[in-house]
Amino acid sequence: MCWGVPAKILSLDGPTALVDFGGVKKEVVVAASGISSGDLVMIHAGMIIGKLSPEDFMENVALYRDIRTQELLDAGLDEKAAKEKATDETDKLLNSLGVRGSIASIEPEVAEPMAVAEKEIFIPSNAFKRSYKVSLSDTDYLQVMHYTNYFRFCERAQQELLEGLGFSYAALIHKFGLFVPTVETSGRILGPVRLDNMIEVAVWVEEVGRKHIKFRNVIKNLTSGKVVAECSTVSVCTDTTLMESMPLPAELAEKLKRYMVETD
Amino acid sequence: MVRYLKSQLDDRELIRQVFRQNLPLASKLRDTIWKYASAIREREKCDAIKIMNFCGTHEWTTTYYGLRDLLPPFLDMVAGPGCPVCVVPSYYVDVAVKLAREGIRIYTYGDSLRLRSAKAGCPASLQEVKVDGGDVKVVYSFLDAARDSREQGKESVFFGIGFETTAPSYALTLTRGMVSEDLKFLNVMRLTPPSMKYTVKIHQERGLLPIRGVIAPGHVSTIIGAAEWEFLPRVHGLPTVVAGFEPIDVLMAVAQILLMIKENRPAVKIEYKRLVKWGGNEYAKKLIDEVFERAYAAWRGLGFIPRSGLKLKGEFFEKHDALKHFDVPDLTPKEFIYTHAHHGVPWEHDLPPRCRCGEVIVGIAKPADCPLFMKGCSPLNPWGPCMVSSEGACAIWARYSEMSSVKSEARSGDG
Ligand code: SF4
Ligand code: SF4
Repeated sequence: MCWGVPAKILSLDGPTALVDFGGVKKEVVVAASGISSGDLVMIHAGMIIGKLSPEDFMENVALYRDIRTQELLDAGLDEKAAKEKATDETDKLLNSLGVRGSIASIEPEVAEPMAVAEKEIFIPSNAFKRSYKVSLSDTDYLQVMHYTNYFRFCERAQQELLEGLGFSYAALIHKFGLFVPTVETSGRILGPVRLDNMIEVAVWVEEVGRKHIKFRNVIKNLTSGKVVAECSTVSVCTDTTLMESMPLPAELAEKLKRYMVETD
Repeated sequence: MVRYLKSQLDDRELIRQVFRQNLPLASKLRDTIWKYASAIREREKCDAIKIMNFCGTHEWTTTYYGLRDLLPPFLDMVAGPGCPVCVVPSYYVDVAVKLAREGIRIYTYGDSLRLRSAKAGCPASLQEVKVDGGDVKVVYSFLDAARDSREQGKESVFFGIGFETTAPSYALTLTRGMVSEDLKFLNVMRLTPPSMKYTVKIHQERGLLPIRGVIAPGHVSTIIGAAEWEFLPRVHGLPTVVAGFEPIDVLMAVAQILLMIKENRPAVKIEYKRLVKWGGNEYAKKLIDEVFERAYAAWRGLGFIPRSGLKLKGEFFEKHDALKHFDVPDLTPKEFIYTHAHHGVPWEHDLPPRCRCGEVIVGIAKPADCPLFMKGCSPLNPWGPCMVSSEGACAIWARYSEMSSVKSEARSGDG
C-alpha cells in the first residue's frame, strides 16, 4: 500500500483530481496545496502527497556534487578546485541524458551539525570499579531503578574500595573507633537502569582533607553502554563514641592516594 | 518538467534514468561508500556498521536491486518497522473478521487482505472470510470505498491502516462530507517517529550492536517534514538521511550517512529533495489535526508505544468510529485496565507461534533467521504478518533475495 507512483494531473475538481499514471487514469484526492493541471505529482494510496518540480529535481541531483566535493577534498584538492570538478562531473552526467542545464548555481547544502547531547564523561583509569546486577528490589513500579538506589550502589562501591585497602567498616569501628558517614552528596541521573541490567560503578577519590574524603562516582549501564549517573559524596571521619569529627588515620590517607584523581 | 529541463526524455523517464538505471553513478557511489566504510571500520576497529532503513519500501529497493551485494559485507543494512501492514495488531484483524462474518461489508486495501490473526481458528484472515462468502471488498483508496458505500447504502467498515502518509487522504475524505454515515472507520493508524525512537532504544537496552545511521522514510517525511527526525542526531547522535526509493537514492543516503559518521557530525539531511521539504506538507498536516488526535497505540509484536497512533476525534469519532458504533472494546494498555478500571482488552503477545516478526521489524533478526522462513511461511501462504505485504521484510526477502542482480523493470514509477 505504500508505493508512491508519479502521475500527471489531467484536471482538478475541488478536493479530487483526475491523474494519468502513464496510460491508466484514476481519480485521487488532493492533499497538497498549489497544484495545477499539467503538474507532475506523487500519488500515495489514492492521494496526492506532493509536487515534483524541476527545481527540486535539480537540487536533488546537486546532492551528488556535494558528496563528490567532500571526497575530492579528502583526496587533497583545495576547496575551489574540488567544487568545480564535482560540478563539472555532475553536469556531464545530466548532459549525457540530454538535459541542458547546470547545477552550478545551486548552493551546496551546509547542514548544521547538531551537537551530540552529552559530552564524554570522564572516568580515570585508576578508578576502583565494581559491577552489580540490578535486582527486583532495586527497581520501582516501572522496573526502572529508583533514584535512591543509584546512591546506594555508589555507597556500596565506596565501602568495597575501603575494604580493599584494609579498612572495612568493621575494622574502622573496632580498630580505630571511627566511622565515615556521608554528610553531603550531589548527583545527576542521566539515564535508566532496568531490571536485570548490569551496571558498573566507578569510584575514585577527589580530595582527602584532614578529616574528610570526597568521593566521586560514575555509574555506567553495561547493558546499554551508557553512563547513567554521576555523583559525588563527602564522608567525614567521625569518632564513634563522641560523635564528633576527628582526623583521618594517617595510613588510610596514605593508602587512598592510589585512587586519587583531581577532576574539574 | 520536460520543457523546463530541455531534455529529450519524458520527465518520468528522466527521473528513472538518473536515479534508477544509472550504472556509472552507482559504481562511483559504491567506491565512495567502500572508502568511507573501510575508514570507519579501521578507525573504530568494529565488526560491523549497522544502518537502519526504516521503510518497507527502502528494504524493497535494497533487496530488489541487490544493493547489499554492492556494499561492503560489514555494512549491515537492517529493516525497520516501516510497513503499516506488518504492525497491525492481531486484535484488529479479529475484529474485522468478526464484523465481516456478521454480514457487514469490509473494505480493505489488497495488502491487508491476507493478514492473519494470531489466534488459532478459521477463518483467520479477511481473505478466508471472503472465500467463505463474506462481504469483503478490496479497494484502491478510501475515496473509492466512500463512493461505493454511498451507492450501496449498506452498513460497512473501512479497515483503516496506514502511517502519516495515508492519514491525510482519510481526513480529507471525511471533512469534505464525502463519507456517508453508513461507512465506519476501523482505526489502526500509526505514527513513525515514535516507533523509530522505540527501535533505537531497544537496541541500546538490549546491548545490541548499535544502529549508527538511519535512512528515514521518504513519503512519510513528505507529509510530516524532515525536521521531525531532528531528535535522532540530537538525542541519539545518529546521522539521518531522508531518502527516495530508487537505488541511487539509497546509495546516496548511505554515502552521506557514512560521511557524517566519519566526520562525527550527526545531522538530518534530505536526499529526496525532489519531494521532501523541511516543514513537510502544511496543508496535509492541518487536515490530519482536524480529524485525528494522538493516542497510545499497540504495534504488532511490540506492544504499546506512547503517542504512536492516531484516533478519530470529536464529531468524527462519534459518527464514524467502528469500535464505538459496534460497541467493541479497544485494545488498552494493561496498567490502564488495572489502575483505572477501563473497559478494554489488554494487548497480548500477538504473533503466531515461532514467528519472529517482532524482532524482524526492529532490525534485530533477519527474515532468514526465522525457523519458519520459506518453510511454514512463504508469500503464497503467509504465516506471520511480515510475509503478507509487498513491503514486509520477510516477503521481500522471500521474493528477491536470491535474485540480487535483477535489473529488469518490474515496477513502474518513482516510489
Ligand atoms: S514512505 Fe511509503 S513505504 Fe515508507 S513508510 Fe511511508 S508509506 Fe510506507
Ligand atoms: S518468515 Fe514468517 S513467521 Fe517468520 S518472521 Fe517472517 S513472517 Fe514471521
